Amino acid sequence: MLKLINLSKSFTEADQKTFIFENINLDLKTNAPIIILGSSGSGKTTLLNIISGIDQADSGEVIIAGTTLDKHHNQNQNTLFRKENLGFVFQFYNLIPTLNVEDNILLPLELNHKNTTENKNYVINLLDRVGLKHRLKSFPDMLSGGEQQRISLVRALGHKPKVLIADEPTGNLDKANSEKINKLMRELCQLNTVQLIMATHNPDLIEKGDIVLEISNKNITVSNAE
Amino acid sequence: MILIKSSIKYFTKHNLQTVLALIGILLGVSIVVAIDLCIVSSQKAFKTSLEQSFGKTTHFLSASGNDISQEIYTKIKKEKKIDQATPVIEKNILIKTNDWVRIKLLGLDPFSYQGFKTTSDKGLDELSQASLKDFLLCDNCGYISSKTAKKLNIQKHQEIVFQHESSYKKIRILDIIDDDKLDNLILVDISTAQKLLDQPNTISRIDLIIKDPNELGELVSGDLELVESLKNKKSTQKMLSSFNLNLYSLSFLSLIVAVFLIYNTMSFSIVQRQTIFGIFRTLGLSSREIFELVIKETLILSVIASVIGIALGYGLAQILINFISQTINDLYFVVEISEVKLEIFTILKGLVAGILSALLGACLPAYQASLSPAIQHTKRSSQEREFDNYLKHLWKISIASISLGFIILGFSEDYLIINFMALALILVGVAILVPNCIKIISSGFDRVLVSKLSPINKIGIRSIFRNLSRTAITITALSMALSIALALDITVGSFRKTVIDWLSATLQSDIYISAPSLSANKTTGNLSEEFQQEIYKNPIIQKFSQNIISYRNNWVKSNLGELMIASIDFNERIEKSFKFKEKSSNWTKDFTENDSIIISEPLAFRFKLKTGDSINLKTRYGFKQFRVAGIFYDYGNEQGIIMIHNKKYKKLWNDLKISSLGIMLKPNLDKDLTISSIKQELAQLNTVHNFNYRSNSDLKQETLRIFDRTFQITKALKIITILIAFISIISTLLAMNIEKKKEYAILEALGTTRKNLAQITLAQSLSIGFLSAIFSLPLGLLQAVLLINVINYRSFGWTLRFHQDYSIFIQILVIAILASLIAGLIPAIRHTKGYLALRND
Repeated sequence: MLKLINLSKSFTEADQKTFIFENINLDLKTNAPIIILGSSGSGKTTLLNIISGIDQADSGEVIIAGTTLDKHHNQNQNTLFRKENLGFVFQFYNLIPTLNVEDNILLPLELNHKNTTENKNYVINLLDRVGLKHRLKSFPDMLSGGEQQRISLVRALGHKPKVLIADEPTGNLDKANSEKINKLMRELCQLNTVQLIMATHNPDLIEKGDIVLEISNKNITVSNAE
Repeated sequence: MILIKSSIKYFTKHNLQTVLALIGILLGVSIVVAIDLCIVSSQKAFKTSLEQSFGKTTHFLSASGNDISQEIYTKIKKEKKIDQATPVIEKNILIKTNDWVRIKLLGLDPFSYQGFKTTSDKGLDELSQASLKDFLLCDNCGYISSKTAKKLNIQKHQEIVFQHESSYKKIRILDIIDDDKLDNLILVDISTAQKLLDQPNTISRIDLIIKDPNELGELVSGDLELVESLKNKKSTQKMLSSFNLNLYSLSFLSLIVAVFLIYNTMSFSIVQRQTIFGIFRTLGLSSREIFELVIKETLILSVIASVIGIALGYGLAQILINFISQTINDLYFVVEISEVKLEIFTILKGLVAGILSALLGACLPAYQASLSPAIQHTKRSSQEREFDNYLKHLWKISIASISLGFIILGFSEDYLIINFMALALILVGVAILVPNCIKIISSGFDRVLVSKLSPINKIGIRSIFRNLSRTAITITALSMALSIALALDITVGSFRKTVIDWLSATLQSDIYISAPSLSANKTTGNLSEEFQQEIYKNPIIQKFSQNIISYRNNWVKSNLGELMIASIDFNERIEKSFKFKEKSSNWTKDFTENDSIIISEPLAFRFKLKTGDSINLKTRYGFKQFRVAGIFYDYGNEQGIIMIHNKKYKKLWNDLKISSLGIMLKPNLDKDLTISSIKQELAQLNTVHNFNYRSNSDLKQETLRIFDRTFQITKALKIITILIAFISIISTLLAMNIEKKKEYAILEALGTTRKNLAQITLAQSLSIGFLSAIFSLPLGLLQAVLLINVINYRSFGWTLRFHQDYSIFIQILVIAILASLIAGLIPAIRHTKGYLALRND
C-alpha cells in the first residue's frame, strides 16, 4: 500500500541545511490504518504532503496505492492522481466557506466528473451516516467545529478514494468530538475499503492493529499497536 | 458549476467590492461607447448629407466652390449629348424659428433628376406623383421632411424666414414629406432656388453619371473641374480621422485606469481566497483549472459591467453628441446630427473593450492564483515577499516598455495609431515605475514625516508601505488618472496660450466685417459689392480708419488636391502679423512681387513641404507653379491654408469677391470710443445688409469661446478617469480593512476606539492621495510633453508652445487629497461596526 524508497527531506534556514528525515525506507503491504505519530514540528505533515504529492522530497521515491508519484514532481500528474485516489481531512476542516454543505461534499465528484445520481446518493448517504443530513443547505460558518470535521470527512470519502489522508483531524476538537471523529473515520474507511493514513500527536487515537510510524532523529520507526 | 457557485457566493458576499469593480469597468466602457456612438453618428450624418447631395452621382462639375454658369449645363446636354446630368443648387442657409438654425437649401430639377434617384428616394417619388405641378409652379415654395418639421416646429403651409449671405428671404412649406433622406434641408425646384438665392443664371454644380471622365472634353477647363463624388467623400472623411482618433485614444485612457482597478479587485479576491484555492488544489484542481476559474469569474463580471456600461454610454452619448457635433461644425463641416442610435457594432466594441480590459487586469492575479500551493496557507507576508520579487522584474519591464515606446515613436511618424500605442507603452512603462519609487522613498518618508506622528497615524501610513502589493497598484492607478488630468490641462493650456499669442500677433485690424458664416472658423460667404462700397464710403469709417484690408477665402485645385487659399492685402502691419516657423530671407519681396506664396504650418506638415518647395495651383490660365517663401504658424484650421497677395490672386483667378474686411484705425485714437461709434454705424448698415462685425477683442473672445467649447469633452473624460481612480481607492481601503480584521480586533481589544480605527483608514487614504499626486507630476509632465510635441504635431501639424501654469499642480494636489479623503470616508465609516464581535472565518 505504501512504499518509501530512500526518501530524504530537508529545509534550509540561514544557509543551514537541516534534515527532517534522511534516506528512509518503508514497505507497508497491510490495509490496517497507518498512524504517523510525532510531536509538533517533527515532520508529520511534511511526510503526509510528500506521500500525497503535494510536497516534493529532496530525493527518493514514493509508491502509494500502487502508483509511483512522479519523481520530477510533475504537478499535473500528481494532481490527477490526488484528485482520483486521495481524500483529505485537515485539522482546520478547510471547508469552502463560499459553498454550502451540499456543494462542499459534492465538489470532489464534480472535479472527477463523477456527479451521477448514484454517486450523489452515495455521498448524501454518507452525510446521513455522520448524522448531518439536515444541515445540507447550511454554510460552514453556521456549523460547529465537530460538525465541520464530519462534513470534511464526507467530502474526503465522497468520490470513493483509495486512501484517506488525515492530518491532525482532531487537533482542533474537544475530547468527545475527537473520539467521535476518530470512530467515524475508521468505520467509514473500513466500510468503504479505504486505506487510512493519519498524522497525529495524540496517542489516544491509536487503536489496536494500527501501524504506527514515528519520526525521530531523521529516521522513521514502524510498529504495530497493541 | 459548483466552482462558479463558490465564486458567485464570494463576490456576492463582498458585494461592495464587487460593485466597485463593476463600476470601474462600466465607466470605462461607457466612455468608449459614448465616444464611439458620437463618432459613428457624426459619420452617419455626414454620409446622409452626402447622399442627399450626390445620390447616384459618379462625378460632379463645379468651380472650386464658386457657382457656375447654367449655360454649361445646356452645353453638356446638347453638345456632349450626356443624358445623365442634372443641375444642383446647394447652399447653407440660416432659418429663423425660435433661434437661427442651420439648414441646407437644395434646388433640384425634378425631370433631369429622375435618373439620379436611388431606391430610397421615397419623398421625391411621392413628390413627383402627387404634387409635381405645385413643386414647379408655386412661388417660393419648398418641401421639408417630417422629422425636420417636427424638430423645427414648422407646420405645413407655414412661411418661414431664412437668411443667406447678406439678405433675408421667405419660403413657404408646401408639404411635409416622410423621408429621412430629406432631413435638415428644404427641397425646392431649381428655378425657385435661383430666385431665392439671387443667382438667376448660375448653379452650384452639375451632377453626372458618367463612365469616362473624358466624356466632357474641353468643357473641363478654366475654373471648372470634374470631381469624383466618392473621392470627395473619402477626402472629407480623412479630414476627421485625426480628430476621431484623438477622441478614441482619450476614451481608452480611462479604460487603462479601469484595468488597474480590475487588477486590484481580482488580486484582492485571490489573496482572500488563497486558502480556498489551496483546498481546490489539494482536492485535485490543476493550476490551469484555477487560472480558468479566475478568468471565467472575470468574464462574468466584465460582461455584466459592459452591458450596463453600454447602456450608460448610450445615455452619455446623448450629452456628448452636442459637444462633438459643435466641434465638428466649428472645425470641419456643417453637419446636423439628429439622433444617436445604438448600433450592433458599437455594442460589440463596448463588450470587447470591457471584456479585454478586464481580462488584461485579471491575467496576473489569475496566474498568481494558479500558483496557489495545495493546502499550505499563503500568508500576507509571503504575498508581500512575492510582490517584492515582482518589483525587481518590474524595473526591467518598465525600462523595456519605455524604450520600446520611444523607438516606435522615432520610426512611426506617419502612423498616428502606432504613435498612440507607443505613447501607451511609455505611459504604462513609467506608471509601473511607481511601485518601485514608493519602495525607494518609503524609508526617507518614514524618517522625515511618519516617525513624528501619533501611533494611530503611524499605523495608518506605515500600512501603506508595508502592504505594497495592495497599495502600490492603487497609487499607480490614481497617479495615472491624475497625470492624465494634468497632461490634458497642460496641453489644452499650452494650446490656449499659443492661440492667444497667435491671435494677438495675427489680428492686426481693429474691426472685422465678414459675410455670415455657417462654420465658426471659416468665412465661406461673400460680401456684396454694393455693401463693400457702402463701407468704403461711410464717413465715420473713412474718418477713423487708416487702412481697410480685404480678405478672400476660396478653394483651389492643386497638384496636392483641393486646398484652401486666402488672399490678403499686404502692408507693414500685416507683414508683422505673420510669425514664421521658417522663411526665405527675402520673403516680403517674393510674396509681393514674385510668384511666391506662404503656407501655414499644418499644410506644410500634411504635404511635407519646406521653404523653397513648389506647389502647382490651378489658376484661370491653367496650372501655375508657386514657390513657398515661408511657413507661418496658424491655428485657424488643421487642413492648412495658402496665403497669397491679393493683387496676384485677383489677377490669376479673376475673383473680385471679398470674404471679409479688416478696418485698421488711425493711431492715437480713443480705441474703445471709436470702435463703439463704428459699431453703431455698422449696426445701422446691418438692418439693410446682413453681415457679421466684431471688434478685435470680440473676435479674440469668440475664438477662445470656440476653443474652450472644443475642449469641453476633455473635461468630461478627465472627470470619469478620476472617478474610476477614486473608486480604486475605496476598493483598496475596503480590501485592506477586510485583510486587517484580526489586527483591528487586537487593536480594539487593546483599547483603540473605533474613531481611532477610522483615523487609521483616513491616514491611509490621505497617504495614497498625497503619494499619487506627487508621482502624477512627473508622469503628467512627460505625457504633456509627448502630447504637445509628438501626438498633437503628428495629428494636426501644429507647433504648440509648452506653457506651464503652476496653479494646475496645486489643483491636482487638491483633487488628489479631496478624492482620497472622500474615498476614505466609506471604509472609515465601516469601522463603526467594530471587529471584536466578528467570527474568525
